[in-house]
Amino acid sequence: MSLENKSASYIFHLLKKGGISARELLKDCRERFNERDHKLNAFVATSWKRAEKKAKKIDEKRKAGEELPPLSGIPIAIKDNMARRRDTMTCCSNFLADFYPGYSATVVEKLEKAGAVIIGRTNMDEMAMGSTTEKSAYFPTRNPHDLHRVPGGSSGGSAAAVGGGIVPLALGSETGGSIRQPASFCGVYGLRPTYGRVSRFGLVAYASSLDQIGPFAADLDDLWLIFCHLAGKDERDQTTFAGKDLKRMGENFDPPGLRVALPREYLEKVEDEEISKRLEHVCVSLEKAGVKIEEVSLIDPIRALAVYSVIATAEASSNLARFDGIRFGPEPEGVDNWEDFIKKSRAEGFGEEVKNRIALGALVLSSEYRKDYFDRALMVREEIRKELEELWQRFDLILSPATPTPAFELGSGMEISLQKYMSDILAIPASLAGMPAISLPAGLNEDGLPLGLQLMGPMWSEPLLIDFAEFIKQITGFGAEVKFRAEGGSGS
Amino acid sequence: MSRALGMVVGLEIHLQLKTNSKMFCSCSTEFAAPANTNTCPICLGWPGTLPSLNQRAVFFGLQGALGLNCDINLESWFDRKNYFYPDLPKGYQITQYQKPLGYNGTFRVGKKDFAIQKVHLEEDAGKINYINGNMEIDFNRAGIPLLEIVTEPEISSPEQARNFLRELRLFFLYLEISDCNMQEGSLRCDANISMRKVGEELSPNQVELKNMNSFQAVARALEYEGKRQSKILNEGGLIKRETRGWDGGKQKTYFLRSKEQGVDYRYFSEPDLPPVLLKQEFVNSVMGNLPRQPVERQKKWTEEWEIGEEEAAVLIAQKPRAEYFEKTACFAPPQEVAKWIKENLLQFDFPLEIPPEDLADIINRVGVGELSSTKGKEVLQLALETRKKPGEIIREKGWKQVSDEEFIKQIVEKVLQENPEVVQDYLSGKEKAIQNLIGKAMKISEGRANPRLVGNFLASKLKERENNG
Repeated sequence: MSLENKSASYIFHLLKKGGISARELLKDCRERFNERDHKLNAFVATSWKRAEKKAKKIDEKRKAGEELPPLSGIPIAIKDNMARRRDTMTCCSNFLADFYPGYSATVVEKLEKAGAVIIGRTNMDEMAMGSTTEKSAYFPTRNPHDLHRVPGGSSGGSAAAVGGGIVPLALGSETGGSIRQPASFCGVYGLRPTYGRVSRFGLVAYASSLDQIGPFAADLDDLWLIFCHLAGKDERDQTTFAGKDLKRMGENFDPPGLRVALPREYLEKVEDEEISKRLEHVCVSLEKAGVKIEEVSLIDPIRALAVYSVIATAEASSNLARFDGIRFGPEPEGVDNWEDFIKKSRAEGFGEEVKNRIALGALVLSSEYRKDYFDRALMVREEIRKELEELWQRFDLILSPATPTPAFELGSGMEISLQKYMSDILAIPASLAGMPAISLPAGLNEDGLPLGLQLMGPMWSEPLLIDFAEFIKQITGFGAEVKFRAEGGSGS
Repeated sequence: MSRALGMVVGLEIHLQLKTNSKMFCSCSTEFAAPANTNTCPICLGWPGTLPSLNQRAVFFGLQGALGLNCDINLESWFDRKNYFYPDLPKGYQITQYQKPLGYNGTFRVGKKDFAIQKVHLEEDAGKINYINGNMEIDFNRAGIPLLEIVTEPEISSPEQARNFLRELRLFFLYLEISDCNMQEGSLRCDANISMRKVGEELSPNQVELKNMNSFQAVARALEYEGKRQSKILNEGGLIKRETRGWDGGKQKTYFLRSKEQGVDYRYFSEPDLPPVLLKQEFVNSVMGNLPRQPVERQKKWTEEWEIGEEEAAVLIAQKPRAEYFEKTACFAPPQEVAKWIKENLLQFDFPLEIPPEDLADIINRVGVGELSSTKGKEVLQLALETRKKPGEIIREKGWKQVSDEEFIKQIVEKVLQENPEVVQDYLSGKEKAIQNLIGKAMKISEGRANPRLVGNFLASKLKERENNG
């Protein structure tokens, strides 16, 4: 029995009733992995043995009649920048090629406690810097809907693993739009939680004030389920908060009472007519259902993108300073002083994109430029946050496209590098403001590529985002597009 | 002709706070543990780890800032100071740069108030050791909480700097938030020095002095550097902004690095830690519960208790000694207690094995004449050795001083009979001979006779003989 396209909640139900064992579940998952991943390249490491042990334990527990936690037996993938005891963690960088952290990220501990079976680590742009997963030190990941195209990034491996039907759930991480953009490119749901809702302990930092861990799912109930297990205050991450209640509205959910803002400046960034039409279609359906939709004007996201590239790189230049080769990482040979030791270690360990961003970050923080760049960026970030705060006085949600275009083709020509940076643009304002946002599938275009929309909400509004996404799914029929199109070819 | 130049010195003092665990992780802060045993992924800066602020360090820091009369930032925060160095695990130091815990403080030394610019928290770096020409890094020290105290440039001589540091060290020893041990590095001091003519603006070209491992070294380095700079200025030269080290062997400062092309630390606020928020009521309660400071105590002793300056200085030098003194002074006259401690007990570690009320008991027995002072000292010695109560020791030894008139009369008669020549000396005008007779009487009584009564009795007996011719 193939469990592709079955929700985790359904699988768990089946498992509890004895309709399937955790080992069978894992076998099913492994078959799909074997069939697909050599073309997708979504994973950089697998842990089947450990997964089998865990599955066995779950089966034994079930037989013994013990209570099973609600993610029991569910195969899950994690991004390669999250620490896990007795596992590697490379961030898809040569710098960490031989790194064993020895500790687990809080989210990993929580998932394991909830019964999840972690099957492996997914590909990403090196150190989470990139929007295509082509900047991985290993290999690019491919889009399950078209193997010539990118899955997006930096969490492209996790998005492709869910979109390609290998696992029902995966963890990604975002600094700018590294969950929502690949989710949209791969036709699945991706959630960026409120900043501080999910612990960052054990997540290799890119830009600490922006980084958040979030889930990918093909099903909204699954997304909610895993999110509830990730959320919560963590003593090991003092920027976490308990936040507001994790409670969905359920039957009390009343969409006609909601006010939805449609920011003009976001719509203008769309380069693909299909996406605009799809959004229009959704708006018409919503209005028919009684939802009030109003166009508004907000700070141009191009400014948010500029601010983001300053703040994220500035923090990255500091966060990545610990990679000096002294306590871990490649030990360079043929150097006779510590300055050269550190320089050579970094020169050999990091790829070009990482070096570029570190250099840019160091520049914008330098005494010569910080006033014009870093300090100003902080001011504009605050303006963006305030503007959104004020908007929540009049609106409950912001609806927009998720990306200006669908997934683009593999290949790192200069002419599309701007396009790559721009593919995050609509995700950035929520990241800067620390507010939650979800990207949701809106069907396929003529080429069979997924199109995506985005919902943003106030702090701690994840339950509302998921309820409303569910409502859109009900009235439009747009849901996750889990597919593996092997005919897409293997080379490009 | 050489111009008269005045010295302008500002000090930067780093104190390791004596918390049990480090600033941002639960590693021990124990000194001299085997290299790299007090480390964990957090203080080694491994990827994915995050700092968790030690609240005890904040509390100690607040005590320090309040003790130095600082204004307190109810909202302060941490910043990252970015630079590469092998002993700096994360490639940045977590410190307080934009908003320190305390600012605008003062510290009184003698009659002068020195202004404190700021007091802030930060983490220590690891320690580099050169072993057989190899650089070996011990990260045990990395992440130990530090309190940095920055003075305004108001110190004007090496002597003043030394006194300031001595008093400051004593002050922090009384606060009990740091061991203040320069040899172990729990107290470190850098100095910024420049020279100027009276009335002249403060020179921007200050020299920072490092590597001074005692207060004496600080004073010597300042003295040397003052002369060096004066010479250059008097010869029409310019002082360069630079960092210089102190070579204790050669008694000279030497060039370490220039500050002209200074390191750009690219400070920005630490995104991994929330701001440090303090409630005014909490600050007030910490303020209200600060331990009494040495200056206050000394003032009370000398002014109210009329203790001599010299004795007060001896007693204040160590907090346990001062506290033992004060406790004992609750049961016996403070002046007597001070004298006893200074004369008999300085070689001991305080608090003593003998409870303050017992020491006071001995002092009081001597005071009222129940015990001679010689016997009193012996009782004290025995009390320290046996931990018995003084009363018990005196009873056992039968040392209770006797003031019984009949007893003393008998002894005095005996002494007069046995020493006619001494009596003759006295009668012929040698008044001091009476001391000899008192001593003999005490000996016969095995020290038990009340010496004052013996003296009185002898005096009246001798007077009788004088009158009788």
